[in-house]
Amino acid sequence: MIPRETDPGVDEALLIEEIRAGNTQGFEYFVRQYQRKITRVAYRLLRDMGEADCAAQESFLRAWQNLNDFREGSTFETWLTRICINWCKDRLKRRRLVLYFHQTADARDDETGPRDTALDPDPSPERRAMSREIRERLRDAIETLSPRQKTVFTLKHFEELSIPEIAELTGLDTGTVKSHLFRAAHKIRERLRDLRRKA
Amino acid sequence: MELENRRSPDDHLTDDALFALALPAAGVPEVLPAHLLECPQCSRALADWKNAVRDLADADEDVLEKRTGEEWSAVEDSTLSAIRREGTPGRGRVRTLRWALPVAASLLVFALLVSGRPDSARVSEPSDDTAGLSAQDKADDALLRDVDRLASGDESSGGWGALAPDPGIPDPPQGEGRS
Repeated sequence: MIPRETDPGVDEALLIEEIRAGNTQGFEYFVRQYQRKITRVAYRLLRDMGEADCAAQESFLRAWQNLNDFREGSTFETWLTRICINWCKDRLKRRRLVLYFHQTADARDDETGPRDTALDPDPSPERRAMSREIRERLRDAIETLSPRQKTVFTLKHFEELSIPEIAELTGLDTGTVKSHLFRAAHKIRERLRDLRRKA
Repeated sequence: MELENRRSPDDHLTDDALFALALPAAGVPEVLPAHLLECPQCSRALADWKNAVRDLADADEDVLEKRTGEEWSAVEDSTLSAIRREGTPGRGRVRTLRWALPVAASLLVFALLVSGRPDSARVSEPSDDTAGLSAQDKADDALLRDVDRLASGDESSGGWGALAPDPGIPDPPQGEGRS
């Protein structure tokens, strides 16, 4: 979930005005405040730490380059997250093109480790295996979504944002967000259709 | 998603129903079917699904939390260095214009060259009719035109002395005029 708390002692709108006026050092506040959050959003979408770092840095650079376009109607965090999401969507589109032409799936880390630490309180190996199977299949199914569907789905179910928040971040209207969410869920369900519940 | 509230206790929830409950398509939680209250098996299965989703989300957190505070600081420093290299803020449009202006100028020049080409071609090639003629034929034509002009009494352009050379006779040496 994206924490939305900001430093209450800092008036971000005022700080942006100062940066525009020449106090460029003030931008450090935003980097220290939001780099981790932005990297996490990017990682959720890209599932690659190197690319997530790149996405975060590029987002800050774009924000810096276009600081004059920032309007006070929005918060800096929302604006920055939107920039980051757009960058990630472009990246995902390119990745899909590469997949299309090479017909090889990205090497996905199917390592065990932290992901094996099931939250399931039931220690039965059978149920643990079932939960793990669902998880793996779900992850693979999410990777097959279109960049926009994946973005909306991830923000809703993993970042736990509301539909209006997703709409604001993605620049879509709420009806379109719902539509993408529905299609994403439908597509994933189709991919998991052969998954049989082990009673 | 169709929720199956009318099930008998032995009629378990399908995978579709469980999926819809764990990952609601509309983004808002679905109403839980009454069957879940009576069936620990389905209740556990739904927990499996929800755990899987939560686990997937938390797995991302785990990857990010592996990074230490120092590592995060280094990443932030790297971003700040990249920003310092950019110079002053708000130069996105200037940067775009810096690329756009030469491109626009190049396109304009290209467009002018393309649109000007037929005119220049017309200047360099006065008659398309003569395009297929040899130099000999062209010389013959010029001579015939001159003869025709002089025969009609027009001597305004230098008279017989200005006749085009006979194509069959080589040019006289320099300084030797016609008589």
